Amino acid sequence: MLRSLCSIAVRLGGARQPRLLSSAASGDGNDGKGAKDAIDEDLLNAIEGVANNIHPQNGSEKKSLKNTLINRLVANEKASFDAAAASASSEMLDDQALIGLLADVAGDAKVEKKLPPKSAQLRQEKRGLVLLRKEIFYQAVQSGFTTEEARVKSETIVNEAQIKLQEQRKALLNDVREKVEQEEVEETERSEKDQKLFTMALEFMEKIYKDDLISSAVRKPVKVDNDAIKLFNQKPLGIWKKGEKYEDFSLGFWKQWDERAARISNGSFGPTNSFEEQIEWTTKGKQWEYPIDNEFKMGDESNVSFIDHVFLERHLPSLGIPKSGPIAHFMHLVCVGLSKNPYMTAAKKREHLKWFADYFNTEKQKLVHKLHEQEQIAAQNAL
Amino acid sequence: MAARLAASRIVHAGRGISQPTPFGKRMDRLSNRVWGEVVMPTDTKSLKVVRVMSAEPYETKEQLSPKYYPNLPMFHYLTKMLRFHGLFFDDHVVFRDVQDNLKIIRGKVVRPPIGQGKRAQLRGKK
Repeated sequence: MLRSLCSIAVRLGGARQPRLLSSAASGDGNDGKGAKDAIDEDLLNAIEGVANNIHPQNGSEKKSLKNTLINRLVANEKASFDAAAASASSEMLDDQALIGLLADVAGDAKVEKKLPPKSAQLRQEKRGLVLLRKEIFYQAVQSGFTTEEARVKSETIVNEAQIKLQEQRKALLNDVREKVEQEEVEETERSEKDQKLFTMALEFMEKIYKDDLISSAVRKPVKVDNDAIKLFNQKPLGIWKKGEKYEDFSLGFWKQWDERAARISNGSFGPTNSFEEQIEWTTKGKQWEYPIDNEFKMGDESNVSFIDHVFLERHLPSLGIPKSGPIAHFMHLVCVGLSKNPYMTAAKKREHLKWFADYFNTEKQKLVHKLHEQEQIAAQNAL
Repeated sequence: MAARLAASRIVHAGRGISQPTPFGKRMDRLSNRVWGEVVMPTDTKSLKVVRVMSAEPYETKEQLSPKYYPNLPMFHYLTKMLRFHGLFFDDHVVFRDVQDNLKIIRGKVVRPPIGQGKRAQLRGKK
């Protein structure tokens, strides 16, 4: 229903204009045709009657009067039609469904414009490359190269420009930074003239490939402005002229307490489950470390054998203790006692033996020997 | 330690150990040498050397180090002083104060001078 209404409106709009234009432009024959369409035959007959009454004799004035009357009537008819059409068109525009329909028609119109086929596109690109190569050749000849050098150089530059353009496209699709780095590297390689020709070739090639969807779809790269102000590389203003003399002075415990407060606040409010609680206890030393081990925290003693703890009399000859007599007996008692001591390390036991060896030096050995002999003599005398 | 150093009471009748024969004495010496005991005959006073050497040294005894015992007089002073300034609160002290006041109200003597308490008076009667 709405579609038919739209088609009727379009047909009316299409039918009206050429007839008006033709009636305005052309001569008498068309006048009759337009008048016949717009005005009734009764009115036409009335107009002829009036013209005959006013100008019965003169034919030209009669014809001019007739035309004037017809034109005026046609204009009046057009004005009334415009008024009616305006109200109708406003009603049509208020209808949302009709607006949607018009939008769909517009969309369909846009969709019809398709891309050219791939072969045609490739053909155009090749033609463009050929023309570009010719242009670069002419420019090279004008800039002072010989014909042979210009030909070779034009081919080389066009190929390099093509590769560069492909790399630019990849850089746009992937990342912008790589592009800048590559540009900086490549700029140093070419000479000045070659650089000019290369730039020209790049510009023309970008124009050739301008219609691609890739260039239009990819976002525009944001280039870094090297002249912008760098906030963190500024020089000091020079307001404080004795800055290096000042020191940061504060008491140690304030810093410790601030760090502890930060640790407490960052550590939330304690363990959230039993496993974390036991980990905390183990760290503080309130709980055995699991899996259980009875050599827990032995330290260096875990590498010491029980032989070093128990068999201590083998150290006595090297320390200078005599092998017989009262001193030997005493040292035997010391070794037996130390071999039963579970609270000392092996090194500490050896230190004890060394101390006794230092105590029983040569003089004291003689003294003990003399006293022992006296004791023996006294015993014999007593018997 | 003395118990460990006493002679063994196990009877080794068949093997001659601890017998007053020369063979028995030699077996005793061999046994003591094997098991790390005192080999030569030694009087009881000299065995103190073995006892002292097998005991825990003084420098590693926890009970003898100042760190083992808290500074009790300092804490006592701090509880009094901080409570006076209102910075420390102890329920037990408050409870005892309340009970002492109740005793005073009932006409009892809370802390008599030395020598005038109940026990002293009873002892005086004897």
